Amino acid sequence: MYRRTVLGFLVTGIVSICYLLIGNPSSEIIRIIRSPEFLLTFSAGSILAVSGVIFQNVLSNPLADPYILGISAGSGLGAVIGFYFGKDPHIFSLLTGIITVFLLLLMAKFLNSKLKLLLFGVGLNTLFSSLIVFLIAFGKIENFPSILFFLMGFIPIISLKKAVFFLFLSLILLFILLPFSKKVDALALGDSFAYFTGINPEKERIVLIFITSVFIAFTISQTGIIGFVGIVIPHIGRFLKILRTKKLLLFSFFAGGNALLIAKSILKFGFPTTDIPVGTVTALIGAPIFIGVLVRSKRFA
Amino acid sequence: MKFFKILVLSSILFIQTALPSPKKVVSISPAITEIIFYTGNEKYMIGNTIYCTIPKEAKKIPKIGGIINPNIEKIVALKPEMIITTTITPNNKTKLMEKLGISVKTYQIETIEDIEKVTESVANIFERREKKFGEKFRKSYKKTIKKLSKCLKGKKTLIVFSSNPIYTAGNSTFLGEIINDAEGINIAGNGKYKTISAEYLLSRNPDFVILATMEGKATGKLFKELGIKVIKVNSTYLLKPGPYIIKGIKQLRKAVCIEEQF
Amino acid sequence: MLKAKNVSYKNILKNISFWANRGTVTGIIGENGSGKTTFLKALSGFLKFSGRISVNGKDIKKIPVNLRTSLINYLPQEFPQTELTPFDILNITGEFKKIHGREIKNIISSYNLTQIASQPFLSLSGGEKVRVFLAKIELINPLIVLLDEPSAFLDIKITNILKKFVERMKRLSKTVIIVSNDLNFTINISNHIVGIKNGSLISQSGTDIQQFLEKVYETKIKLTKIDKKYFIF
Repeated sequence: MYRRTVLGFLVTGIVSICYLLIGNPSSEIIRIIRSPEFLLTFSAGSILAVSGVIFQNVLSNPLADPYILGISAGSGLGAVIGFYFGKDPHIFSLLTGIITVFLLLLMAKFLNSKLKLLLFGVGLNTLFSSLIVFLIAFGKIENFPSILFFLMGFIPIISLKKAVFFLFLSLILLFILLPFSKKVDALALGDSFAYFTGINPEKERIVLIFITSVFIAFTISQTGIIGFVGIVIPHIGRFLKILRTKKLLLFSFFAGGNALLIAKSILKFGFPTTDIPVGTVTALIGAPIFIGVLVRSKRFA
Repeated sequence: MKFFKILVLSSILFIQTALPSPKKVVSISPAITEIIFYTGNEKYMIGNTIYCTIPKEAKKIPKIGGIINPNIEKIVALKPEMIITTTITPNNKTKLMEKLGISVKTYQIETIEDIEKVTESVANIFERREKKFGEKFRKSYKKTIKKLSKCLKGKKTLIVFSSNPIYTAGNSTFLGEIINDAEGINIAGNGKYKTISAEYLLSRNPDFVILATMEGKATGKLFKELGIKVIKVNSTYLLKPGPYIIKGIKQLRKAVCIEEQF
Repeated sequence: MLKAKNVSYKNILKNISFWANRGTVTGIIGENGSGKTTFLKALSGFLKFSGRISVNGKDIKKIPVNLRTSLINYLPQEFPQTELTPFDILNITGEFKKIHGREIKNIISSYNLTQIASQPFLSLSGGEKVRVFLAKIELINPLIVLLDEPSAFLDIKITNILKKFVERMKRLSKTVIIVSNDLNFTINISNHIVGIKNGSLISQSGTDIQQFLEKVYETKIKLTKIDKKYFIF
């Protein structure tokens, strides 16, 4: 397994060097644009993928992703509210994201059922999404591109300090989650199985969802709602026969970060003069893969 | 043959002159509202959109909804003789109003020339005046642009509306035209409204970036981090393609010239 | 010794009192939907029931979750759909109990799982799946073993595996409780039988077996005894 981790670092190293140096940019561009971009992209991708592993296992649902319980729409709503009132959308989105997480926590304790929690999340998603559309309809037209980029998911240009902070966030998340691997494995086999290995399934589920959702809220507040990374990367891992949580987390950390980097590179170097949200590529590539997974899992239904 | 032509021409002229100028008009465009005020015909405007805020007096006129989503029922209730709008209003809405028996005039206003032409055309709708207003606008525009070019000449710049993403106006928009007419260099390049990447912006080496947003709280933070000078401009008048844009250009001139210490 | 006193759960279980000794097999029978599985889940502490359940005098609610499963463990009626292998499943279980490599290898061979130990669980046959979970239970080595509808597979081979398992557990002085609708299997393997009807317990003591069965199922039952074994029609 350590061999694989080293491989992960190597791949990341190669991809990042390419990203920083393609097109022979000036050192100013590397420092001010490419480095923060690369760090944020990798961090976002890894946080999303790692969270996807947790959500899929903890909810015993291969179609789950970190957004399924409504945190994406909650954060999105905050951002749109921010745009509407001319305030900083990042702060608002983080605020509403955290509020949504606590709301979920409350409901999880109250509902006491995986299915009900999932359905509640779907309901929340729908509610917030409609509020978002409503606000957009009354919003200022100049905000449309910014709102669109946020909802599709994009990589904004931020300070190097902030970007490094996000890298730390992604590493912290990984190190928090790795010790839970055993429990996540047990939860993936169902609440009954988990209970009989000696854990309290409800409690562990709530803790894990809470932790990952907070990190997701931070990510969304910067990058908007980048889709498909959380759902597809863990499946690619399973396709490669990486089934146990510990290995899958490590795989997803590197694969998620690099996959998003590659997606961003396609846009950045394919269309260098313009700015296209990275969520478009993750959707275009991720959706067919997602459908492939659906078809494949149907065979074992 | 010649006689036939004269007959057709004179009958057209006759029909034109025979059409009375409308006394009750609804505007579904802030630009058109500006033009109606500019040409002194505001007394005939019985309704306009919630976005029609220029000039100030336009706010007092009854509202009929938005530009893309006007409230048809409200419009019909006002019993207008004519509706004047732009191509931004969706086709199905204008067709619906025609079906309801109201005459609709649609204009495209995207360039400075458009503003001039439409001003003229709208003036003609109301009274059989000589061509005055279009020309008035053009003269005013030329004068103000000349003053602007004193500070903008040879400068590489662009007008942006947001920083993440960088949303800007290309040469085919009235904003791009303003830069070009003032002998500046529009880094945004050709095209209409578009998003550009930060690297592209840096590589073009702008002298400064003109940050034009409606809210007072515009963040030029990103550009400052990129080491690019930011000139904020009050854009209440500047971002609307109507004759009152002259005021906006004056504000732009003030902002740029002060920054550039002219 | 497992003791249940006045156990109720929502309106599915109504005031059930029950006990079972070490080294015995208790069969629980009853109609579908009578609450048998729910009772098993309550016994293991998986559900939040009202009343008291104790293991060797200790109230199960007061025992922390991670220690409970060493006392009571459970063979479920339905198995999880997973691509993990039997090896993985046993390893996951073992990691919690700090049981490692060699013991797991031993269990795998004693349950004849060596051939299939590295195959995805969901590709296994019903009988193989049961064996994996029986191996899991033996790995945990609890005092009390609960089996939920184990013969639902209606496969003679599986029934034999289960019989051997139950007898082994009995010899190891464990308390075994089987919930089943397979009357032939249950009656012949159990030391005691209780019935659950509409959430209430019906004990057999004092009653003739045939009368008891008819009371639980509310239908005519024909009972024959051949070679000390009961057969039901």
